[in-house]
Amino acid sequence: MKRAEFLQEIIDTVEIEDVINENTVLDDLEEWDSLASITTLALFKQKLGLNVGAQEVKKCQTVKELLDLGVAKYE
Amino acid sequence: MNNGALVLVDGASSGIGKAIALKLNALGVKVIAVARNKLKLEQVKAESLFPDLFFCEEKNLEKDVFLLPEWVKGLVEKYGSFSGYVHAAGVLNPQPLKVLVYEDIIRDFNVNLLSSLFVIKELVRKKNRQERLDIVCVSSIASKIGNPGSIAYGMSKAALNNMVSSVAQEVGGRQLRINAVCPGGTKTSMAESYSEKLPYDYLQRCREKNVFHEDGMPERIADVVCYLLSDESYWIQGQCITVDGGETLS
Repeated sequence: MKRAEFLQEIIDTVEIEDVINENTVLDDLEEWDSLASITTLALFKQKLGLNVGAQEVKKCQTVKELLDLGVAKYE
Repeated sequence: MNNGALVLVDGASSGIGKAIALKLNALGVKVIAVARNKLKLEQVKAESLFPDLFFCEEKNLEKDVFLLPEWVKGLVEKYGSFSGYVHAAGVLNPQPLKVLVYEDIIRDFNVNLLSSLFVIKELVRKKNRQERLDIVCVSSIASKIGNPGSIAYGMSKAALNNMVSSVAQEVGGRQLRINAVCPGGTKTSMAESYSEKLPYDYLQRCREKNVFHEDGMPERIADVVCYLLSDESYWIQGQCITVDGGETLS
């Protein structure tokens, strides 16, 4: 899965309505709450086969930082 | 329920589901009625007050339940976004522990529980629902009290209650409500065929236990379900409401 495709998976699954890019700050998104971060963590496992820790996700401030967690697995 | 109300009702060809589909239809609500047997659904449609507001969809909920989200997407494309969903599909068979087999347990769980979970999973998405979505699951008093001979049924209904509570907390709010009703013994074709497999008259025993000493009728359950779909029940969220004529009071 490509990096952009994984981002789209997050947008579709969490139902993020704003137009976002890699510079978007996660806390600026209305939909970004604890459930969204758990959901994203599960997507890392389901789509990329990657075990990502909750603390790692929590540390991410931007979409870029979040996507960087999967950098080893993108095509 | 508003003018554009569109409600999905599964298990609509008989018993409680049928009573719910017919009552909603009589209230002028557009109903998408789902069951295994299209012919039986068409017969229910023939009984409806507004046949032009009654649509039949054949679907087997016994297997491949994980594919139901795709099916729901297709329904939304065909009929538009939904304002309500009633999960009334259910199977009940006497299965004492010593003859209980995996396939029967899975069937009970698929029909009674997992089918609704996978329908709800897709329906709660914003593009598939109207401004508000009200969900009611038909559970059972067997969810709260264990019964000899129907372990898998009781387990699936208990899990259904927990699903209602969890989903309410996860995605519930002003725009989404989910509740359950827990009927006692109700005079349906399912209960009658269940009774035929028992050494005693199941419905008679229910009549003896409830404080009215009369049969629980599907229409009584449908009344409560319609209330739970309406604005009048706005403040009820994530609850499992017993509707059993007092059958479980003692």
